[in-house]
Amino acid sequence: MRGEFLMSTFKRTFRTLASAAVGMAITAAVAFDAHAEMAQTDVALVQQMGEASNNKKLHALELYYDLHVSELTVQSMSERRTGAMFAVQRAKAANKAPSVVAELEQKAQQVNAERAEKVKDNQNLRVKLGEISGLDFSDPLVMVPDAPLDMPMASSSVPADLAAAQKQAWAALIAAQNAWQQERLTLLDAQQRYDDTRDVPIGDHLRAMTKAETTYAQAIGACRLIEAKIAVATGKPLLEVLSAL
Amino acid sequence: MLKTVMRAVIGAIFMCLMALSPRVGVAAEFIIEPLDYDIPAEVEAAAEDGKNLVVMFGQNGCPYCDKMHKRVFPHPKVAALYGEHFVMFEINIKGDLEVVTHDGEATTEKKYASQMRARATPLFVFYGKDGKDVLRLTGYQEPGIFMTAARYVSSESYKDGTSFLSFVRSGK
Repeated sequence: MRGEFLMSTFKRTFRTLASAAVGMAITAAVAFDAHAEMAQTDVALVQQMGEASNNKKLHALELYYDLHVSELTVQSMSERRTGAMFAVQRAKAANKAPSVVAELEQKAQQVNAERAEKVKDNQNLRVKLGEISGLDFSDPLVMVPDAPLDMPMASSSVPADLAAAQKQAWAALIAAQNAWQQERLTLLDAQQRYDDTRDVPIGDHLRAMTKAETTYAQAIGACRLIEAKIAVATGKPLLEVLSAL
Repeated sequence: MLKTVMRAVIGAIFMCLMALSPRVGVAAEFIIEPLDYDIPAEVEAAAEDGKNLVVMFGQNGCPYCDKMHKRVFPHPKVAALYGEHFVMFEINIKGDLEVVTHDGEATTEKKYASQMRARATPLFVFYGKDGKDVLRLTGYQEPGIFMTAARYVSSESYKDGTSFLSFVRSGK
């Protein structure tokens, strides 16, 4: 009798667990599928927009590059928020005057509010991009598109305003790239020294790195967008042009 | 029999939950969830597959740990390189789980973190196949540097006295 009861309990538990596992497996498969389909590159975005008009694709690309910058901006604000909160903790631990602590607390609240605004901007961008592209952008973007390798040769078929914008975008890209390269080496050096001496403001270097990354991402997006606009204006296939950058 | 079946079902549920977690996703191949935090045993198990162990010391609310999870581990090149040469797990610097240190001493996450001087997070400690820590990296590591670290450790360049900084500057 007791054996039967145990067996029946086991079967019931097993059935419940097994059905839960199957349900989760299906959900997981769907979630993975959605993740795999989300455009993690501008090339994938244009590809997934299929037959949409070039104007629509250009608009989506603009929002897409903005979203990359926004991701890093939110990251940057999270870093500032942590820095501000630590500053309050340090001041309290060091028994600083209440007025000093209050000032730091106010600053931390301000940073928190600024961050909330940036998070809101990020969510709005996702919604807009989703609407215009018809695609899902609920996951984080992992990596900024690659910086174009070489500036294309000047061509007389490129409208003058786009040619001027192209020149400006490339100059900004090179400056941002150099600054980012320099910052990553400075950070690496600071990280190594921090391990040895601890006498390095590591947080400042880390925050500076994210800022440099953000500027670089902005410059990459601007450059790729202008190349996309030139492609459309001169009748070149958008997907091929972006893939070759 | 009962235990085996239950373990299989619970394992399947655990795998599904892992699959749903955004922290693993693409990077799941090199990030492991050890049953016990036995570093010498994990070093040995990794070495049997020709891999090295890397431990990430992190903590909740650390924006740079979050950045590594969102932007570096899922990066296709990072996931491929680390999947080939490394296994990684995390230690919470404020955690109380039991850990067996690389010296074979049983302690807690918190104490081991303190012993390893992990204050700013994340801290990555790369272990050689002999179990010695061969490289420490503190803070966020952008994908390029994180991949260079993988090449530095897997090629055992530290053995001839080359510092990681020189290795990076040499562009290898």
